[in-house]
Amino acid sequence: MMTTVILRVATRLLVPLSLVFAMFIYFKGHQSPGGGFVAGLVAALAMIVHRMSEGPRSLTRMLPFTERSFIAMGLLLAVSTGLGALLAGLPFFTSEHGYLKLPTSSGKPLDVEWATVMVFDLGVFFVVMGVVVGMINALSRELEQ
Amino acid sequence: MTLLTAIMVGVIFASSVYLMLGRELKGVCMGVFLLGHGANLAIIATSRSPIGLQPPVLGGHSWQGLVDPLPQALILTAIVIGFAVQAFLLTLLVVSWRRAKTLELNELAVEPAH
Amino acid sequence: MSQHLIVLFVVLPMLAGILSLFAHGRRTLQAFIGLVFLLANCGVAIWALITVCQGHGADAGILVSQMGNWPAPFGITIVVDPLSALMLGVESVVCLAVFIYCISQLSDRFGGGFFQPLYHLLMMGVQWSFITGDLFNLFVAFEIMLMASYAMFVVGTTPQQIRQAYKYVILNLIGSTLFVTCAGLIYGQLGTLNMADITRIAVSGQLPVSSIPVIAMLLLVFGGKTAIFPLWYWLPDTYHTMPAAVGGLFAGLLTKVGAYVMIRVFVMMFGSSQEVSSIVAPLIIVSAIVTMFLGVLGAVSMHSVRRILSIHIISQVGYMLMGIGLGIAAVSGLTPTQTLISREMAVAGAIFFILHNMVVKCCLFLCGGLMIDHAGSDDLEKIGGLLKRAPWLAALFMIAALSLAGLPPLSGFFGKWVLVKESFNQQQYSLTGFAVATSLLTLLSMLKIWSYGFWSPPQGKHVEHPEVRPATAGGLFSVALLVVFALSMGFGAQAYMNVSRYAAQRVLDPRPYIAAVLGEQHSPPHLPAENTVVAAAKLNPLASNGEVRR
Repeated sequence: MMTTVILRVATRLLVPLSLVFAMFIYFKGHQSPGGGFVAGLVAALAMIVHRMSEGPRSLTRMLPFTERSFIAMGLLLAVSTGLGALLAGLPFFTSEHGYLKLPTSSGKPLDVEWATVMVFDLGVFFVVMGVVVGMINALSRELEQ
Repeated sequence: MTLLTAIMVGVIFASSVYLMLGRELKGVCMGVFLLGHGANLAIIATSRSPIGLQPPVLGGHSWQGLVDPLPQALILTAIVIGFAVQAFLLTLLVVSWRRAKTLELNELAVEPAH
Repeated sequence: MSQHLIVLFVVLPMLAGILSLFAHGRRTLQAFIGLVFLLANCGVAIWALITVCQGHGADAGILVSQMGNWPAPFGITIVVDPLSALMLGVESVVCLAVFIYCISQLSDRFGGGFFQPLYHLLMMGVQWSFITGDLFNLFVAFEIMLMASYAMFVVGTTPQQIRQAYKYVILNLIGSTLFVTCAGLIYGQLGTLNMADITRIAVSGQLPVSSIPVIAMLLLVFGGKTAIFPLWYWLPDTYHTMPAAVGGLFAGLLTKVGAYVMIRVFVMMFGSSQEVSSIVAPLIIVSAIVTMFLGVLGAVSMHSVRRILSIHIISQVGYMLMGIGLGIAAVSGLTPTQTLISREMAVAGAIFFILHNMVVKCCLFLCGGLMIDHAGSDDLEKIGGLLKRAPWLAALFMIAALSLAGLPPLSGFFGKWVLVKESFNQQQYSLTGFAVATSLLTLLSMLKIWSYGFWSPPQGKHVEHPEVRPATAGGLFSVALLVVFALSMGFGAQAYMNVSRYAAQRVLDPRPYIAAVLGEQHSPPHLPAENTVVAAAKLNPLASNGEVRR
């Protein structure tokens, strides 16, 4: 644990920024480089920076669930998107997509693409974040003793 | 380009074999990790020389000038798997260091069985 | 439409793994989740087997589902053909039995923690490798299976075991890396990784010469996973250090997955290519001889139950190789029709033998575990007199052991009989001789366990028997389940052999497989006409369903 003032101040700025950046990558990732995996890594890095400056306890307080639950939830999300297609009589993982017309102030509706793959990607996001945070947490706990 | 990649793959494989032939577990594990990277490089070489081609990203390009995206997808999967394996091996190293206070394969051997 | 349900073979174990991860720390809940999902998995396996056996008409008994509705050579395909369906049917029962054994052990290692999620993930990897339709997914499935197995191996180990774990993990990792390199190179050569597509290229004789060394290198990869002759070094040193339940699961499944993949790759995908077979077949046959004979010699020299059984895995792999080798080797002195029938019978024998071995090997490992529970050790020089202490265990062990050795009314006999007969027909007399000799030595080593462990009174150096009688009812139940299954394979051998032969037909003549996966228009027209001589009419695969249901 490094608790210099510089790091702590930088962390306060970096962690929210990285989380927003992770969101950006996640939403961008459907058609262009990015997606749940990279977003998960970025979010996990934010958590690790937080852990470096504020200590493991603070990280545990920050996360709403344990890493294990993150992994299990992510897997469940990913599998359930596939199962949805199966229930509709289509092959597993068949995805559906369309456009959502959002009203804007100029009157011209904004086309936003949605796809069921997004839910799968959200699952990937949770799994990757859970795995990376869990791994680094476990390894550094081992070394800090 | 392909020749260069091939030579790189050869060098990486050779160094990883050298590392794996050692007696110390850290080196052996590093050798295994390196071997994975060599394999990835070998796969990327199968998508032929990328010189003059576009990255396989949608939007604006014709289908002709794109690099074959499949090897990249394969590598992405292989990297993720390699990531898991590396984490596992590192944990194993930490655990055996804590238990036996050594990372020499021979010294692990004389540890009495419980 | 219902054929899309075959993805349940991957989804069910995965869901079971996820849910038991949520139930971390709650032993009863985990056990309940596991049992429900394993039973459901058995149900799906039986459904798939029946569907596959019924359909030797229009859809040729091959269930295909294209993941995400992407057409075949581009997307991920999963396929259940008769061979996969047979493997899945037996594997799901074996998994159920080992699971019951695990939860009956009431040890913290097997319940409550990460063991059961890992168990389901291992199963997911195994089932995925049985149903996958392309080489890269095979690699991924192998990796999932192996990652789970590494972790199951290491959880709660002693330093001695950790050393063996390094050996197991690192050697398997090198094999996997080689596999992924080969897969990449094959993609570079053929432009596809879909098994049906590669088969189509091989059947129409368009394999580029430069791809043949890469394909031959696959033998090295799968040989390592299956533990064949020069690549077996990791197995005897590791399996005996595991607890019996883990050892039983690994012995029953992991090497058999390797053997299954060898059938899939070298018989189905490249069996029709002369160039590949002429390189691979002699290697496989020589390796089969050395594997089975040296393996059994090792087993005869050992003095601990688990060590004997682990080395026996290798020896038994030799028989599977023998069938695979006879299925693709060049044959002299037979008419084309006879050759075809002989190859078909040899592959059917190998398939039958794999099924038999999954059940019996796993059963014997569990018996070994129960012996340790009763006697406190599995060193044959220290234990004895178990016949009186555990008569039921003795009876079950005897049946399983004789079945492994291959005494006539039991399951091991029929697989070996077919293989020996076909090796004689194909004039591979050295193979015949070594197979028979190996069989005799197997009997010898099994009788050694019997006479030292069960029959004779405790030896001079024996460890103190625990006073309290161990609670082994659940363990005995799972062993009994496997023994009954093995007995059904012995007494209902005709039915099982018919289905195996049907599976062998589909493997040796891959046109229905190609047509089912890629669509009718891709079916290569010019396969030798005599491949169709053996009519499916005289086989009645459905006759076996009653047996399999058990």
